[in-house]
Amino acid sequence: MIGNAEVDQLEELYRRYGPAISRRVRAMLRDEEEAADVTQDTFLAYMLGASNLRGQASAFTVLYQIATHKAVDRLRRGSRWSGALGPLAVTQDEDSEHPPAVVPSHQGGVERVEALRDLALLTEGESPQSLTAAVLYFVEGYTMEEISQVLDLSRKTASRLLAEFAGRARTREARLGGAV
Amino acid sequence: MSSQGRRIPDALLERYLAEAVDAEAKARFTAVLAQSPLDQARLEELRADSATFLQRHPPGKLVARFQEERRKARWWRKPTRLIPALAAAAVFLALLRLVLLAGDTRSPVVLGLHTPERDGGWSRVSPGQTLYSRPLLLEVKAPASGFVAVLSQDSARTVTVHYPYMATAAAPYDVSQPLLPQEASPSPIPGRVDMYALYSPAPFELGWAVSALKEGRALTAQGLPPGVLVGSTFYTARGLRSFGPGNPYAD
Repeated sequence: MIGNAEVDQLEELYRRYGPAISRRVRAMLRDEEEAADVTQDTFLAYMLGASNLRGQASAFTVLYQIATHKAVDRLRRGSRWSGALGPLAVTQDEDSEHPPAVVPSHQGGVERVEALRDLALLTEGESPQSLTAAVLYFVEGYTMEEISQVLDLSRKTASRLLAEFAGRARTREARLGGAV
Repeated sequence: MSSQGRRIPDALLERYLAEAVDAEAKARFTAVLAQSPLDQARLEELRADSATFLQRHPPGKLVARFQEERRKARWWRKPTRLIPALAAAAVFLALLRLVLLAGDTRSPVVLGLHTPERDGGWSRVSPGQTLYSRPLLLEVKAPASGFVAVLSQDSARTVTVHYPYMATAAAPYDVSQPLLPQEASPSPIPGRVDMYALYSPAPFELGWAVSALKEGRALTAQGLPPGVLVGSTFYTARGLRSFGPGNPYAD
């Protein structure tokens, strides 16, 4: 018999964080059925072992990263480089008193979807943490401070994570031959 | 891109709504919300969507899937249930080895790791080699096409399914393409990292392997389910450098 404690934990996590995770995935995939599948896959991955990937981060943070990673994985299938993704440059000196405009993740036209698909092609093999940071920064316009809050990281660590990702992604971008 | 006057992005508003923020952040967001009708309106949209979520997506199906995965993982640990499968698998494996290995006494599954070089090329990782944070290419050489998975366990006993990434079952494998399509990220925790490649001619689940590693049991040829072969290697993770307070991987 499966332990009731584990099922209780899963149900509690799902009730508490399922809505947010589902919305995150729906916003990225724009497909209800796929989003429902990926949401379930996310919670399964968390319960079956992926939660240990970042033992110091909160359950919500880990679930959010897994969900973003799995959604991008789906987008990567059948994607072709469109060039909608802008230059992969990481700005280190953000003015915290005048942060860039907030760009809601529930909005976004065709260009944002194409940028996300382009980023999907550059993120194969990336960790959920790096990939989530990349989506938030390069597609959704989050500041470094906001990304550090979403990922439970210090701002310096988030900045380094993005800078390293940008370096790897530029190499992959060159191989794809789709430089903007 | 338009800001539409919002001051709190959705990812942080979601954390606030799910009460996944600390007291200081909660107070900060509450203060901003009090002065931002647009953010308040968005919060109410999210709250209304959350209120109907469980009706639209009840947890029953998820729980059933989870219980099935757990049941499969535990099934491998019941020796009496394995006897018929063991008998059939023993015959199959004997035939497979005779046809494919012809006296070769080495492990039939070989896991290789490759790390990027500065000139853009890749070099083979030696067992125990120290690696930094650059992604690794995974290479699996197996007797024939079938299904493979690559797992690791680092010095913090964290288990990671690298290929297929975070999946619960092995992925199809083409023997003519030993380089797997996904790169793996080295562990951020300094110390030894054991890497395992699992192979079988037939599809197989991974829950038993994850459980075994978490319980401190190495994946050896003697302890595998019928039909599954293993190859292994290891490296030494250098880990991430310290970047001040809040870095969970500070030295």
